[in-house]
Amino acid sequence: MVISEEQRRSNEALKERLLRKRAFREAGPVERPLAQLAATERKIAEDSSKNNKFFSKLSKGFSRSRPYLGAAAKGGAKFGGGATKVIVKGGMAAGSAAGSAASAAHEKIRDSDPGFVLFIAGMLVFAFNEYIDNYSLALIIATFFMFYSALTVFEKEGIVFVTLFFIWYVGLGGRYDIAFIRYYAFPLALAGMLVHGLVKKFRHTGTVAEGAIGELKGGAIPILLFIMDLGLIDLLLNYFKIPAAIINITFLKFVPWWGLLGIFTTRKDTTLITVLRVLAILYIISLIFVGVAPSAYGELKESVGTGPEELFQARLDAQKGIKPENPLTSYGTCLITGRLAELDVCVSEEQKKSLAKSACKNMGITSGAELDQCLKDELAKMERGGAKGTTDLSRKEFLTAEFMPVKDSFPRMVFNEPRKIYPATLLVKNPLQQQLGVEVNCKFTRGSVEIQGEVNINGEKKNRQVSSRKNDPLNILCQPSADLNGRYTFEIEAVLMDIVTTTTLTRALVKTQLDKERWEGEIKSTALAGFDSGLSRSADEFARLNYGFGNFPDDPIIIADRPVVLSASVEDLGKGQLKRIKSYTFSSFLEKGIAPASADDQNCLQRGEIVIPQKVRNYHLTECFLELTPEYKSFSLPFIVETFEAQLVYDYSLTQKVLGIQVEITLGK
Amino acid sequence: MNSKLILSALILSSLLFLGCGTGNQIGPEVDDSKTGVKELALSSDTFPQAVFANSQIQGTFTLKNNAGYDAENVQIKLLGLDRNYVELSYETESINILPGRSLFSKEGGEEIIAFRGTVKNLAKGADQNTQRYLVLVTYSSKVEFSPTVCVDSGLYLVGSNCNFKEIGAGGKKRPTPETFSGQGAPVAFNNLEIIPYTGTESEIELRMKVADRGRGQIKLLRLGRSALGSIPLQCEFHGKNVERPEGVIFNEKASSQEVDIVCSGKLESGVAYKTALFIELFYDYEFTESRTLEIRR
Repeated sequence: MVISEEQRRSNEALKERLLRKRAFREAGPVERPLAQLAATERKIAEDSSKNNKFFSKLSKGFSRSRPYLGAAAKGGAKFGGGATKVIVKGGMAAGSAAGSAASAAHEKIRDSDPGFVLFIAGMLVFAFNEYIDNYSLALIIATFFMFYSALTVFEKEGIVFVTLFFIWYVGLGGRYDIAFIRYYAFPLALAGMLVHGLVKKFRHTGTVAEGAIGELKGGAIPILLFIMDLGLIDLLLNYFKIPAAIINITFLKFVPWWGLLGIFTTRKDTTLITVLRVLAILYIISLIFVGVAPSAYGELKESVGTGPEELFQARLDAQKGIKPENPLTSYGTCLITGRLAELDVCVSEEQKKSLAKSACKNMGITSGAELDQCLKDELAKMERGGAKGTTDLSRKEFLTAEFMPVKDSFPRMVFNEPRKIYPATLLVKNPLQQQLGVEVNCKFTRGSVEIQGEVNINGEKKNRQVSSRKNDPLNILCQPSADLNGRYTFEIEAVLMDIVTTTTLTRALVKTQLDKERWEGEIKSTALAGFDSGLSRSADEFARLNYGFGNFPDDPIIIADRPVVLSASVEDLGKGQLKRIKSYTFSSFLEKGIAPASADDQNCLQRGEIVIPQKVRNYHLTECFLELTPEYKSFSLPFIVETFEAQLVYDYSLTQKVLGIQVEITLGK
Repeated sequence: MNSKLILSALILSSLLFLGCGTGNQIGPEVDDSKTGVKELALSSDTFPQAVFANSQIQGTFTLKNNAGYDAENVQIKLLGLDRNYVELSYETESINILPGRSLFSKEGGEEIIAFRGTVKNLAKGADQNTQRYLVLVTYSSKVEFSPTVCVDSGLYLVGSNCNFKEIGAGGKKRPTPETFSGQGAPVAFNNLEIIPYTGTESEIELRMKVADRGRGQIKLLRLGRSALGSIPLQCEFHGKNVERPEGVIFNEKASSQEVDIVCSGKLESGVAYKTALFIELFYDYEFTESRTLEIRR
């Protein structure tokens, strides 16, 4: 079927109208109308010729192929008669229809409003976010949005960049170590920009520089939103090392990023759209100013993974763990209860209440008098807050342990081996050679089905090992105790037992307030120099005892003739979970005879086993007044300086999960 | 012949006179020990800057008195060494008297003070620890203010015995304070103002500003003898830190320590005359110097 001249002219006119419309929209405010008009006409002509070239080639192709198709039809008619003729003619018709359909589709896509589509889809996904607990689904959705926005909203400007990013993030596991970035990331990014620039140049639609910068701009936003949607928090915490206290996790968690991109890039210009945009801005501002994240448990830290799956899992874990409600919900509650005069106080209280409720739920307390008492206790702990500590960088030798990343040779897909043995390696470095126990467990889960595994450590059938060697890699093998058939998640847990972490705290003591005023400057420029010198310090191990001690726990200069208080908490720093606190001891205080001032606080300076809530980052441990000995109350010097030590003994759990283990059992083996 | 002889004798005696001098000095020796701002200083020390953990530590500090007055009850203390890592046998060492500079002791007194102790173990896993500490020196000394002044009761016109510029009775201009550059100590009399009282009796008031010009801090000021010629003066402290007129205690660390001394007395004569003023001021002083000690494993 040949496109008639009239139809062709009609299509062209339609194309021109659409091009004109788009060009005017892109031209921006009309400050120099004639110049804008000239530029617009030029653009229309260029686009028109580009499309005409494509479609004229398409038409020419079909025209050229007509004689051959006709000959084929004739030949077909010779050999097969009418049927072949119909098929070939039908093919020609389909091809031409496809051509015009493609043309129409191309116009339709251009003519449609991808921004609005993105807005609707993005808001729907955000609304049902709680139910997306499958990594693959979340990745598919985020990938779709990223490519969709790059192709339509940004009109392929950054498509090369986005593609390269996707390959890096999913295919290469999102490596962000310096070596990778130096050797691969920058060259690839530059290559992407160059490619786009050259394409633009050869198509005569712009210069190389325009293309390169367009690539960067058009790709940066979809990529950024993709990361924010899936796992920005981890990237900020662990790569850029931005302190958790600065990142407003509330802000990151409660913003519908794709929906926002859609509403601000939609081509519709109605009152409704304007209202929605204003509401979006107000929503973001409200989150920034109203959103609070109670600091009693510190900022929720996402666990570090090397790939997007782990990041997503960590986000899920955090979602399932202790978290406050959406701050705007708290805001609404305060409005309803009429606490308009003290909104800031009310919102903060509601956030703390929701966090306390979440903490109690996490401990399995959900109702009744037990819940009331739990809420009271958790709120009291939140008011007190966790003590702060810092890492002692001078301690270069300390215990480390981590699972080696899963290798490519890991049997993710297994045929006819329902009891396949799965390997893992736990690297333990123990330079101080402390006596350490390791207990390993493994399991395979699919939905509610859980199959335990039998553990083999370094060739021996056992799940526990005790060692004090400096380097002690554990080669672990896990064999399911029942037959596997289907898709499973392989999870291996190693509990490091009886880890001892020492924390030190430096204090200056003066006799009177006058001495403090006289010597404070000198003390803070010598013995207590440095902004964190008043904090307790420990090696960069899995968990640590944070404590403060003085007239006020955080004040590093103690006036000896005034009451002295001790406050301590335990902070989980590692990638896993603090399983159990075996004991803690303030050894320096005990050695020097510094004791609790009250007989009721005898357990303040040392205590045995303590169970702590799951995934709590900074858990308040103890608080009491102390009685200083005469040695610390009367001394000949204007001030004295001393460092005190405390030890924490605990068990720590590290976990490695491998998603998507597939075991296929083929019949008739 | 006689004239030639006389001339030769003159030349010879001149040569002998010049040749007997010490070096280029002509005239009697000048004692500048009591001028300017001078004080005690740590001239050198052998106290180590780095030591190993689990070892002994010892070293010395040399203290020199550059001031024009003896220093008494001198104490040197090491402040700020963490007792968990460094334990000194004695944290304070004392010197009874450290002589100041004078005509007979141009360099001033010098003493070497030794400290010794034990360096303990570092925290587990730590390879080094840097200690920042202070060397605190405290001492007692004095400063004497003894300028020659011209005093006038104001009853008579200026011009008889002193060379006043602006002094007189009956509403004429007050004398402008005279400034001084120090008396060879860290505590200095900065200026002096003479206020004559006009009346039937010849009285005079002297106002002085005393300030810390050294690199440390005044802890205490106490007045000693004060006289204008042979006439004793009654002197008192005045100023914001003054709680008692006879002495000043400085407890707070102030960016500038300054106090006024006001002395009053009767004049010997109604006529303007030159005489010596003498004010003796005792003070307790302290200064610090910072040091570091690195403990290595």
